[in-house]
Amino acid sequence: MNITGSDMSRLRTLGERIYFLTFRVRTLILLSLVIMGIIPGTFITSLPSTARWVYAYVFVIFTLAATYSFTNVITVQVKQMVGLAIYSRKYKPEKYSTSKLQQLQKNMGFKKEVEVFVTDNPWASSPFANLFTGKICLPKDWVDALHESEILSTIGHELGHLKTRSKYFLETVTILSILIAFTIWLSFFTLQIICQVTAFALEMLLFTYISRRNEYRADLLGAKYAGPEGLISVFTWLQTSMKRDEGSETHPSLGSRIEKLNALLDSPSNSADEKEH
Amino acid sequence: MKFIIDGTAGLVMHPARYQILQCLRKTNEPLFVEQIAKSVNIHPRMVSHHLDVLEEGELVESKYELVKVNGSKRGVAVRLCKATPKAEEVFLDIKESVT
Repeated sequence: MNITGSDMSRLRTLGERIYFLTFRVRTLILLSLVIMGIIPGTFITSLPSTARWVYAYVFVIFTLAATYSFTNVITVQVKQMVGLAIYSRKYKPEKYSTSKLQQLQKNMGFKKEVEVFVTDNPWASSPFANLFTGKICLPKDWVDALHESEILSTIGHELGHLKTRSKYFLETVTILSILIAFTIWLSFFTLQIICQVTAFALEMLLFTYISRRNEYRADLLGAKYAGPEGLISVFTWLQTSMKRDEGSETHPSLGSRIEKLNALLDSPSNSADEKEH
Repeated sequence: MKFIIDGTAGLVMHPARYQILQCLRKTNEPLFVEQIAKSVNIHPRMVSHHLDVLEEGELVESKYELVKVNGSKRGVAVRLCKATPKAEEVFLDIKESVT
C-alpha cells in the first residue's frame, strides 16, 4: 500500500487534533476510562460476547487517544527540562537580587536566602521553582517586559511553591498510596490490562487536581506577601498572547486564577511593603 | 522606533494600561482613580498599580488634591492623573511602526 503526501498530511492533522484536544476533552477521556474500568470492567467476564467486543473497542480507542495525547503533553515538559540542562552552559544564568526581594523573602519566613536566577535560555519559557534545589529561575524576556513590582509578585508565587513544597510532596505520596491500594483492589475484579489503564487514568486525574490546587495555593501565598495586583497584571498580560485560556494538567486557566486573586482586591491591602508602615 | 527600542512602548502593550492611557488621552481634564476605574471597568486597586507603572515610565503624571466628591462637605484627597506629552509621542511611535 502506497502512502501519498496527502495521506501523510491527513495523518499529521489527525495527530495534531488529538494532541490539541482541549483540556476538558482530555479530562473527559480519562474520566470515561476510569468509569469504564471500574463499572463494566468488573463485570467483563459476565458480559455477553457482543457487548464485550464493543467494550473492548471503545476502551482501546479511548486508551490510544489518552496515551497519544498525554505522551505529547509529557514530551513538551521533558523537552523543556532536557533543553534547559543541555544549554545551561551556553546560557549562563545571572543572579537576580534586590533589596525588595530580600525583604519579601524575609516576610515570607525564609531564613536562608533563596537564589533567584535570570536566564536567556530559549528553553526556559516561563518562570519556575526547582522544588529539590530550592532555586528559582526567570526567563530574561519576562524580566525585560515586566515592571519590578510584577517581577516581585511572580517571584512571590514561586516562593509560595517552595514554602508549600512539603504539603505538595505529602499530597503526592498520599495520592500514590491510595492509587496503589486502589489498583490492588481492582485487580481482584478485572483483567490486568484494564486495571493498569484505569490506574493510569486515575493517576493523571489526581495529579491534575493536586497540581492545580498547588498553583492556587502558591498564587494566594505570593499575593498575601507581594500583593495581588502584580500577579493579576502578569496574568492579564499573559492572556493576550494565548490562543486558548483553558489551563493544562499542571496549571489552572489564567481566567480562574485572576478571578481568585480579584477576590483579594476587596480585602484590606495585604502587601508586605505596606504592612511595615 | 525610539520608544519601542527603549522599552517604553512595552508598558503600553499591556491591555489594562492601554485602556487607562486611552481613557486619560480622550479626556482633557485630569481624572482620579475611581473615575478611571469606572470608565475602564477595572478594579481601583489595579488602576492604581497600573498608574504607578505608567508614572514611572513618565507616561502619566499625578498629584494629590482635595476634591468634593458626591456632594461631600469636606474635600476628599484623590490622586488626579493625566497623560503626558510623552504618552502621545509613544502612541504615535507605535502607530508609525505598525503602518
